[in-house]
Amino acid sequence: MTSYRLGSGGAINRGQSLSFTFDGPTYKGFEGDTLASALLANDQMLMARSFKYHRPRGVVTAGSAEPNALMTIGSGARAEPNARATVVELYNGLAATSQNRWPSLKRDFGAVNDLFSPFLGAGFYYKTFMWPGVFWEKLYEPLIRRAAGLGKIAMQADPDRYEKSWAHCDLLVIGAGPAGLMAALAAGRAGVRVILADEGFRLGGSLLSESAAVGGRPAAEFAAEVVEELASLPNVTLMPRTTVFGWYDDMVFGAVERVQKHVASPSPDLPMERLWRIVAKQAILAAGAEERPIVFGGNDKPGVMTAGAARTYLNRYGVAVGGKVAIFTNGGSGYRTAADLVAQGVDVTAIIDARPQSADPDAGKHSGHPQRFGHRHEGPAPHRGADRRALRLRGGDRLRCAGDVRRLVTDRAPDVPTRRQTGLVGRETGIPGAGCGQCLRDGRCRRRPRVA
Amino acid sequence: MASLITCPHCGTRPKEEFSIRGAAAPKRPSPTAKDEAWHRYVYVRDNPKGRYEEYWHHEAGCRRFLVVERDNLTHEVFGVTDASQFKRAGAAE
Repeated sequence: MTSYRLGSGGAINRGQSLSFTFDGPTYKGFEGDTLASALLANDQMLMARSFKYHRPRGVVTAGSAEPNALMTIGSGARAEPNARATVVELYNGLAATSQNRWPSLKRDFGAVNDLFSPFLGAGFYYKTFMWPGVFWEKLYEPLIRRAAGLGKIAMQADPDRYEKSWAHCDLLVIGAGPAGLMAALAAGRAGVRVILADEGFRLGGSLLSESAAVGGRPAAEFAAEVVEELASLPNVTLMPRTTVFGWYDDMVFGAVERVQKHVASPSPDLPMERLWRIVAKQAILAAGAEERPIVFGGNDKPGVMTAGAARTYLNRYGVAVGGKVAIFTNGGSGYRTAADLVAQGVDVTAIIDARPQSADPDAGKHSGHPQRFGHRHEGPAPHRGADRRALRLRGGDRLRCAGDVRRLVTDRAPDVPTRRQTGLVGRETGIPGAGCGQCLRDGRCRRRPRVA
Repeated sequence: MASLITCPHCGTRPKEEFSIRGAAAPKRPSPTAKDEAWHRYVYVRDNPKGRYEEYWHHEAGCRRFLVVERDNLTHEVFGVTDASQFKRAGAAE
């Protein structure tokens, strides 16, 4: 087992080692890790199995958009199925279990479905299982029920308390990235009652993931200073671990605060989670953008992840996603990722750019790496055989990479501000020209002029 | 639906404290009125789209009956009055 933890760097407390288990074996992580970053540091890229064909799945993102790394956290009555490892805060004694596999994550019997996938298409007629009649109750139904769903819910009563609360403020800032922090700071200094809510356990958003400098200081340091000033203001309430999920009439927002999800032994005096309804006079949605992976064959293999995720693991958690990394990009973020990886001693074997040529100023800096422009990446080698080390490019061109290129990183398509986790998709966004169907002819919003 | 209702007695309260008791516009006929008038009062309702007057009972607060005038399309609330102060717009039957 190789350790992919870097010698230094990251917003983790290396003095506080935490031990946790994943499917039995004990691993070590640090305070400030998520479960996903700690698993990656321990060379555990395989984290789950896909729902139907049981294909191996690795982590794709480093945040709440994670589609793959779903696990059961805890056991007994406190077992929580389908938790995203990328947002589970590591604590001492955390017990994670993989799902939807038997007998083990590495050797999953259900993967035979993959062999029969031509017969189990989306239109597969499940009434095939009706005959003979006696087989239904004895054989088919138990089998189908076992195959259904990913995690298993706990059948015991929940031992924890939950509570509901109201909060009132002049300005609700959703998201504590650079935009949210500065908005909260400006409003806080002006003496306005501010609530700053962020789903993460550490405020700072993308500032924590970037190696860039703000005002001559590292971005994460800058974020920490702003958070410190915000915490010192009596009219500002910081709400980390709070996901704002809904926006209702009269500027009422729904939010869930995970009060004790990250605690090894929860106190009986505190609720496990708190459901907030926040009444705000105005609100700022600074929820940020989500990176879209580029689609190509074989992009579901463990080891393929978004470039932003690789940068987060590197800069925030001090974890290299691999020893050798190939980058498939169509934008500047791929080159930034390459620069960050190289700075930490990770071997970037190739940068493949989908565009005919790159206008990025960083592009020239990587002349040491094979760069291919105008190519479409066709994915790593197919299922079996072939040359697994080669990156297949369109037109039969193969880029031969020495060594074992396990981690392939794709890059972002244009940023899409989905306002994810705010429940605003498909609702009035209050943003002129956002295409929500609530815009007046002159472009102003029909109903929500108060939200920026 | 509006999340907050401003009760004339209690101030701004969440809508969960109230229960909706139906259209406020129909006026109760006199006991001696014809069956037709009673039939209309009991069974016949408009189903308007837009501005709408409605009885709301502030069960978890002052327990008064209120009349909330609201738009059931845009969810805008135009006013809340105590039911005793409520004046019907049209000529009463």
